[in-house]
Amino acid sequence: MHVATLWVVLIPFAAGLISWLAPRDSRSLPRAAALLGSLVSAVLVGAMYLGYDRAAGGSQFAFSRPWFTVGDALADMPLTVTFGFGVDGLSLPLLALTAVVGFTAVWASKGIRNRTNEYYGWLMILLAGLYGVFASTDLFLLFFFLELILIPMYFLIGIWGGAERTKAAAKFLIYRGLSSIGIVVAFFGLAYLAGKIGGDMTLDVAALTRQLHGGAAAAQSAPVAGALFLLLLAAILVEEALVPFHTWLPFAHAQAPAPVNMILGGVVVKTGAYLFLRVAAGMMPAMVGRYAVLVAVIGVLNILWAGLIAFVQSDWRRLLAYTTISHMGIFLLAAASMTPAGLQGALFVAVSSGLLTALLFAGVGLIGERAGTVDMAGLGGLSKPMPYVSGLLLAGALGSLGLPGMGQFVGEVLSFSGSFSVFPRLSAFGIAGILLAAVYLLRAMQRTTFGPTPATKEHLRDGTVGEVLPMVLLLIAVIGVGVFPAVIGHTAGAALAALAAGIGG
Amino acid sequence: MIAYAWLVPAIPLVAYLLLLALGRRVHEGVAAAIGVLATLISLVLSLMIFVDVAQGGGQLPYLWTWLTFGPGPGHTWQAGFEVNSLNALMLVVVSFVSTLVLLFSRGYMHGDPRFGVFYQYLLLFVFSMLGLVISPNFLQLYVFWELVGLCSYLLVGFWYEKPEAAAAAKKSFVVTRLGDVGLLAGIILLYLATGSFDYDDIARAIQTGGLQIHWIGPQGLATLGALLVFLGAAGKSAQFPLHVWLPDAMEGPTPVSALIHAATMVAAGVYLVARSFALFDASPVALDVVAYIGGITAILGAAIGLTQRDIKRVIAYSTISQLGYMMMGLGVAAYSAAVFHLFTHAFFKALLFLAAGSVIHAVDTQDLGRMGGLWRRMPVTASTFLFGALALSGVPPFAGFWSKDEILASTLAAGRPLLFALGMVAAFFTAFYIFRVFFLTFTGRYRGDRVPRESGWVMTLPLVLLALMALGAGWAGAPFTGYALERFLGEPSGASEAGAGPGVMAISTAVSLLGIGLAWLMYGERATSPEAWSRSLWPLYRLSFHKFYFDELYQAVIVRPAFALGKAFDWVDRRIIDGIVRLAAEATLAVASGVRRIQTGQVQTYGLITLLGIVALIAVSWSLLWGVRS
Repeated sequence: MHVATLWVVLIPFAAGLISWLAPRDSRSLPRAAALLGSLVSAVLVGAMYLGYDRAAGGSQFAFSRPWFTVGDALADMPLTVTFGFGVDGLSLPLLALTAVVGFTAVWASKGIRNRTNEYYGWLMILLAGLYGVFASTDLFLLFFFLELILIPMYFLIGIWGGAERTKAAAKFLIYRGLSSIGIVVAFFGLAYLAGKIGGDMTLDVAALTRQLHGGAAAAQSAPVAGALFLLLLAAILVEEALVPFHTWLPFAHAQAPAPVNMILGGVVVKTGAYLFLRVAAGMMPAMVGRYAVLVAVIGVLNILWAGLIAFVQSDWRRLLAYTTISHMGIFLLAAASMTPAGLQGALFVAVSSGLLTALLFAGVGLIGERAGTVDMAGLGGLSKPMPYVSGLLLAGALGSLGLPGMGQFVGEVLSFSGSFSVFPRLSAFGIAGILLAAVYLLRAMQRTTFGPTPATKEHLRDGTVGEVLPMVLLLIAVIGVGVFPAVIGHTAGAALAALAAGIGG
Repeated sequence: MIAYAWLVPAIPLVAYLLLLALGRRVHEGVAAAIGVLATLISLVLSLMIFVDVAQGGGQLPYLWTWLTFGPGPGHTWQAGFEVNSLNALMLVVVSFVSTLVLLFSRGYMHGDPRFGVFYQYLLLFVFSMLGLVISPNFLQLYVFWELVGLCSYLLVGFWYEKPEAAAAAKKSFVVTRLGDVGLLAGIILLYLATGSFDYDDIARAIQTGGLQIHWIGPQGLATLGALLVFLGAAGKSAQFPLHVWLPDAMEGPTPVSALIHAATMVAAGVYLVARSFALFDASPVALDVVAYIGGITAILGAAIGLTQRDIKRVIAYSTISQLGYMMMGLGVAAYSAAVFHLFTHAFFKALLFLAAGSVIHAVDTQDLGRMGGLWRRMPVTASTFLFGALALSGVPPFAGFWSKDEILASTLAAGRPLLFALGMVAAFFTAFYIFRVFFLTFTGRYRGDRVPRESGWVMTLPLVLLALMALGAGWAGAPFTGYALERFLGEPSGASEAGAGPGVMAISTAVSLLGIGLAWLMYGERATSPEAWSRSLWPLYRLSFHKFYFDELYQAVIVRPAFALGKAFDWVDRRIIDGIVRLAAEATLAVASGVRRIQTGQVQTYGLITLLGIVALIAVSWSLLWGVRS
């Protein structure tokens, strides 16, 4: 029994509680607690990342206790729910993403000045929830954390957001709440299917994967399985904010404070990607195979739809929302191919897009703080007064459009290598999205940092070292992934190869 | 030495990182010294490698595994470097021109508040360009391909506060990116077909018929792959119809134009087609496309260059045109002739740009109408420019003459008289437009208002060295040296070309002299008025002056429709999709009892309802499942 994974979840939670106990507008204690909590949990994740035995593979640092049992839960089959945590090649990259984005977002929260105890409290509970989603080895627990995320997100947008914050928070909640219904039904449906096949109803990820994966093809492709898959897919589309269930994201981004946007676009949206790989591809590979074209079409639709809309946005936050959506389209197209290259590419895109989105939101947040607006119509020529922030923003934009040297490039090449081998025609449309990304991101840069500096912007202060640190850390992380892709590839290789084998076998 | 070829790009990279660490406020002399020294070391190493290769040194690629993403073969990415006669030559050219440009920039950029940043970008470019040419496979090439594009973007937009520069930077990146998307798709296709990104593996697969994917036959795949790769090459090398970015890229500082947009990066497309010649050779269709696109580009660029009033733009269109010649050469399988022209062009075009830079530095304008009479005031600049102009025009014994004639002779030998004719007409235009620039700049009366002075030695020394190359570089591949350069390069299988016979040489020399003569009559002697010519030929004149309206066409056909589409989708997003959602949401909320309380905006209340909602949600789904218990 390893408690390390448990601590990763508990430490941010504890830091959140401490922060809460501090006086209402106290600045230092909540921030210190949050910084320490996110740093320690990040170090723990780092240690597990390094300590993970890649040759052995599978779930490690596992902590698992039977939680409760429902006797004859469904059709006379008992269901045991475990309180299980652990990490494997698939969850580690996402845990690491959470660690980096989480810590940098806490760091970048210095500009939050009201009700700081609550703010850092909610922020840390959000982090705990996200760690929990990626570290759970039981679907019940995973669902619990997925629900847990909603509460802090709701308050973080609703209290510290912009003018329309309550609306945006409500919209976020309604969307994700509805997707929760789909997810919970799908989870229990899977447990039921597994019970039909293997005799035991379970929500344990490893057991479910084993039973459903190895189960009789007939049972796996039963009509109910198809329905469950489509339900899960719809829920994942909402989680990832994919067309046509995406409009909550631009709205939420436009209202949420910058550090919350870093986590929202960087990690919260990526839970959908994780669910796709973990549950859809991991447990129902036959269904992914059957609906591959549908999934790929949705992917391409998102790449192009979001790409074209991003073209006409003038609010940076809405632009970044559509950038994320477009990236998630690449994810879906790649994952649908169910090839080793495609699945690796999907994971690389999820992680890199997360890092880059956080980086860009950090920069946009700083610009907003200084210039008083993040609407490109009111910006321009910022390279002169704010060269470092502008440079880092440009680096983020270039990374997002797939410049080699950063993780997104590796993800895109792998993704299209996978998708072209299965859907050549669709991929030809999808790859055009790379061009769109260049157009809309460089256009945004041109309108923001290039051109003559308006007199009102001449004397803006550049970011201080402390202020640009989150961006620098995120940039180092995404360059690390881009130059040494084996960091992720080697870790996730076996887990993803097993997924790919699911469709071949 | 070949085993240490990685040092050639690594040293500029180290210098770049050093300058990055020194920060923005570094002393000009320090930045320039670091830059020039680094490129100089790269040049010496490149020359040593070149000698090794000439003596038949080993050519195995040095590889290591970059990424393994799946079990079994075909699931790894390799990285490394290779040295062969083609890229050994490229190493020398790139490091030579880089060294001179970095030296020249010491004078040209003097006093710029971002002097240190300029050297950073230049060194990053030199690293990327050298990395590009020693890449052993398509994937790694693509990595550096994009990095040189990035440097080009940064340097074109170096004076970012000028809106034109900012727009030009974006345009250059986006237009080349259009080609790059094709290139990436082509690389991926070839990889899927062969399980490798390696040039030689792919060439072997083509020769042994191992090139296939389930949905396309080997011939179709070779054509598709070659055309996609060519799309990338056409973007980078500014071939019709993707040539529109290069003239705008002249917004960058002139040393950048010389290094990136004349001698090195824009030649990368030609290099790519040459390096993957086996692929093109497998598809006659693709070769023809390359040849005719090249021919069209050659004449188009030259035709536009006739009437431009900005000295840098004329030379930019000249670059487009000359790159067209190179592509045309490759398209008729004249491999070594094309590479030979790439080689000579790098010197004389860098020279023309730097000399133009020297002039711009002195008179502070790029408008040909405000120059004139600089021959006496700037004798070194003027005479070196003359060398460059003679080399470009193809006057013997200057460099361009030997290489261009070889391409022209090869078109004839390949049975493509139309291409030969295009090339000849373009050659006439070329001689005319470059001497138009020469006479307008250096002869007659000075029409500017700033007193021009000859540039200092850091600027004139590079000019003199390049002028010597503009004179002599062609001799390396001339008949009287036994086509030494061509023999050094060797011919890949399938390539064939003809040495230029006395007939072709005589015709092309006559054509060049005719062009020079006409320019002299119009702009030197003023014997015939150019205005009268442009009036009588006004439709042609306007077509040329307005660059055949390509920008306007693309604006109307691509940019505006894409914008409209984006607007339309955005509208659908906000009105239709969100409208339905709002409707559904409001209906749902209306059902709930606490509607009014929600509207109070009290977040706590809202949160409580939310919590209750989630609990209810779980409970409902729970009971739904458990409710069916027997």
